[in-house]
Amino acid sequence: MVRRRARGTSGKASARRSGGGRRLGHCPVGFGAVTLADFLDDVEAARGTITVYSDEQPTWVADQFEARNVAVHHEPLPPNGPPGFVVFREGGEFLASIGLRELRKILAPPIRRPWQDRPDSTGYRTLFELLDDTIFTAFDRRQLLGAAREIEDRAWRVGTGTLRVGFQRLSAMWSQVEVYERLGAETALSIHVYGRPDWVPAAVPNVRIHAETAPEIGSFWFLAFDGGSEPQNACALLAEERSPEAFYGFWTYDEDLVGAIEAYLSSTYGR
Amino acid sequence: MPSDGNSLDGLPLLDVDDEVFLALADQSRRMALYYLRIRDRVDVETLADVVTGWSAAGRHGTATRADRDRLLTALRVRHLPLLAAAGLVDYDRTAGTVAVERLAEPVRTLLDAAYAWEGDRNAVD
Repeated sequence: MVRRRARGTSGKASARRSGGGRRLGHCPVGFGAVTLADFLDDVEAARGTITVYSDEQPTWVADQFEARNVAVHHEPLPPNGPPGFVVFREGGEFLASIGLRELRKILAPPIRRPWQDRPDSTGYRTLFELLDDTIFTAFDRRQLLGAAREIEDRAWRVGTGTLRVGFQRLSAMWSQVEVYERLGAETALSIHVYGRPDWVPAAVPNVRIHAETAPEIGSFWFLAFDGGSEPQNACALLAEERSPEAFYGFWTYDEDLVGAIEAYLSSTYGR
Repeated sequence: MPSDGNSLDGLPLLDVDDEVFLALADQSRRMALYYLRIRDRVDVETLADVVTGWSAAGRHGTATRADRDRLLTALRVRHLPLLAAAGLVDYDRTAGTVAVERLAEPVRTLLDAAYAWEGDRNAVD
C-alpha cells in the first residue's frame, strides 16, 4: 500500500509558515557546518517547551528529551480524571499536543521493514512530525530504528533521489542488507552507505559503500533523504552515540537542513 | 434522571437551573471548568491550549495548531459567553482572561461527578 503524507499537512509546518516558530532554514548560522556535530549545535540553539499536564509527573517524558533544546515543565491536573497530555510549544505558541498514553506507546515503536504496511503507523508518524527538530537524548537503538524506518520508508515510496545512511560501523549494515538490496534493486534511488571498515559487505547493486575512518563516522548514526522528485518528503536523522547505546540527536523535515547535511556528506566523503 | 447515579444521590438538582445543565452538556466547556477550578485567572489562549490537548487525549490522541485555533475561536464566540451567562465564569473580553466564579454546592458536586465519570470512561483497561 502506498501512503503519502506531505510535510505541509502537519500543524507544525503550517505554524511555521504563519510566522509562529523558529525557522531553522533561516537561522543565522546558515549551516556553516564543518562537522556533523555542528549540525547538532545549530538545532540545539533553537529552544521549545514541552508541558506535561497530568495528575502525577511522569519522569519518562523529561528523561527522553534534552533540556538544552526543550524545557520540560509539569502542570498538575486533579487526580482520577481524563487522561493527561503533553503540549509542545515554540516561542510560547502552541504547535501540537499528544495524549500521554499515546506518547508512551509511540516511544516503543515496532521494528519493521520499509515495504511492510503498518496498521499502527499513524501514531508514530504523528510523533515524528511533532518532534521534528527536537533534540532527543538517551534514545536507544530500537527507538531510533523507528525513526530510521520512517526515512527509509519515505525513500522507498518516492523511489527517486539520494539516500545517505551512516551505520557507524559497516558491520551494522549486516542485519540490514536485505533492506538495502531491495532499495537498490526496486527503486531508482542513489544510495550511499557510510561506516568504519570493520567488515566489508558484499557488493550490493546500486548501493555505494563508503568505508571511512573519520571518528565522526564511527560515532554518528545518520540517514538523509533529499526527497527526490518530491522535495517535501526530504527528511534526515542525525544521532550521536555519546555513551554506549545512548543516542543524542534530532530528526528533521526541514528541506534546507536536509540539503545541508547531504551537501556536507557528499563534499566531505565524496559523491 | 439516572436512578443509579450514586454520586448524585441527595443532590438538590432542582436548584441547578437549565442554563447550567446546558453549559455542562459540552465537553470543551466541562474541560475548561475543570482547569479553571484549579487555577486563578487564566488567559484565553492558554485555556485553548489546555482544552485542545485534554479533549484530544481521550480520543484520537493528537491535536494540531489548526485544531487549537478553531477551539480558541469557539471559546471566544460561543463557550465562554455561554459559561458567563450561566454564572459559572467571569470572562473579561478586553483583557482576554477568564476565571471561575464561586460555584454553588450543587454545581460543584455535579462537576466533581462529571470529572470522575470522564476519568472512569477513559480508564486503562
